[in-house]
Amino acid sequence: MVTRSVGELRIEVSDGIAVVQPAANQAAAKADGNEVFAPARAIAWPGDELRQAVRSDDLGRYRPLSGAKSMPRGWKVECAEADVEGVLESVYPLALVHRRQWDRGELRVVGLDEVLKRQTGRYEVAAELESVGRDAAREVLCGDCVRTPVWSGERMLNDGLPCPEPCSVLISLCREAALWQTKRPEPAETEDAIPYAAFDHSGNAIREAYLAKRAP
Amino acid sequence: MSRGLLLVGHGSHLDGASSAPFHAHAARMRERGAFDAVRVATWKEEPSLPRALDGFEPDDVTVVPIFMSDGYFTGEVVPREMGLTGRVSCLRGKTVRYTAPVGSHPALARVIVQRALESGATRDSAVAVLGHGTPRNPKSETNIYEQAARVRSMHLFGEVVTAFMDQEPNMRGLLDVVTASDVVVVPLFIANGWHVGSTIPSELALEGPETRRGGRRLRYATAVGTHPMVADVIEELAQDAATW
Repeated sequence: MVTRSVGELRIEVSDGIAVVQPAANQAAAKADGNEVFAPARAIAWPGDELRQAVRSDDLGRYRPLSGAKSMPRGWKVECAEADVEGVLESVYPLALVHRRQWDRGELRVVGLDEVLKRQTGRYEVAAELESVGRDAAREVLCGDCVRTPVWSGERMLNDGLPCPEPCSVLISLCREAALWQTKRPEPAETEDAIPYAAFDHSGNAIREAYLAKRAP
Repeated sequence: MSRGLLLVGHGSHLDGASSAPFHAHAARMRERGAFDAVRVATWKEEPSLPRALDGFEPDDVTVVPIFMSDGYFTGEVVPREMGLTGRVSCLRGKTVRYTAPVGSHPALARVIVQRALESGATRDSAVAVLGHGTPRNPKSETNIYEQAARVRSMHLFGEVVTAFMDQEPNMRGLLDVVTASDVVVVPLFIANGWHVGSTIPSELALEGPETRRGGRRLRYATAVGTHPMVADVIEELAQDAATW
């Protein structure tokens, strides 16, 4: 059996058949000697069921950032080895494409300054975020993502997944952070019920982590 | 030459269901087999618009915007984020054809009619084509008016009116402007997201698919954009783009 990891997933291949599942399935099973999430729910492949399943975390909260370290547990996909790429594409869109381009030295990398500069409308104000705020936003959000932000010069690990360009979730955080420069919000306790990317809501976990990092 | 289809849409950071229609339409287009590859990319989700063509193998790609209005997103955000230079662009060795949004295509009127019929509209009904609208962009209403006019010209229903969620004529005054006792509201939206699922039912005080009020019956259809027939509209837009 050949085993490898991609992001938060573990892939086991034996005799041309692959099992793809969250690594946390095994971790949870080992923790107390019981198969907490076993038998994991089998998700049919091909189809849209997997894409939908990984769009929510264990608490049922929407995951707009596919790489967020909140992969729901308790599922697995059994497929032909040749279908693993398609399975991973459903979970981490373009991750393997970007990894291959990175390995070949062909990955087109675009930095945060350029992405912020081109925004208009609601997101135009994001370009006003000062450098220290940009760094803090990246550290908080990208620190919660399995992808490596090579656009910021971060070093890639051997089995890493390169992120070639700031995503829209980071731009959204930069927008709110730019607004907080003129009126700094009071910190608050984080609340699980607040959506992942609702940065304009007091108690949002990412928002509070950012504010804590920028505390005077 | 290989041909690819790229469906582009808005997506959401807050509502995981809002991009479901894109993926459903993409699956239908894959089944039809007219393209060598079909992909979805969105403004808010992944794959993102700027990376939409990364690793996409076809060298001739048709981009169909799954938007109802021809406005800020189709005219500014999608071209800017993808680096499109016009109706036909050459991007990293690919020919990229950028069509009008599904909301502007005449064939969408048939989908609106179908939604109304599925909700029980008859010759005696008033059908209200309900769009988003915004006072900030006068172009956003154009497709809504044009689609309603096409439906009206088919003479299938007693009345066909236009109403908006965020501008005049506002949906709150709907029952004042139609005379029929049977009213079918057809939301001209892409997804059964926040607006269709919550804002509109709340504003119109709907009790579900059917609401009785003052001796009248108000029926509420699901979003036009989720109908399987939208795949026909996508196909027509793509076929037209292939002739450019």
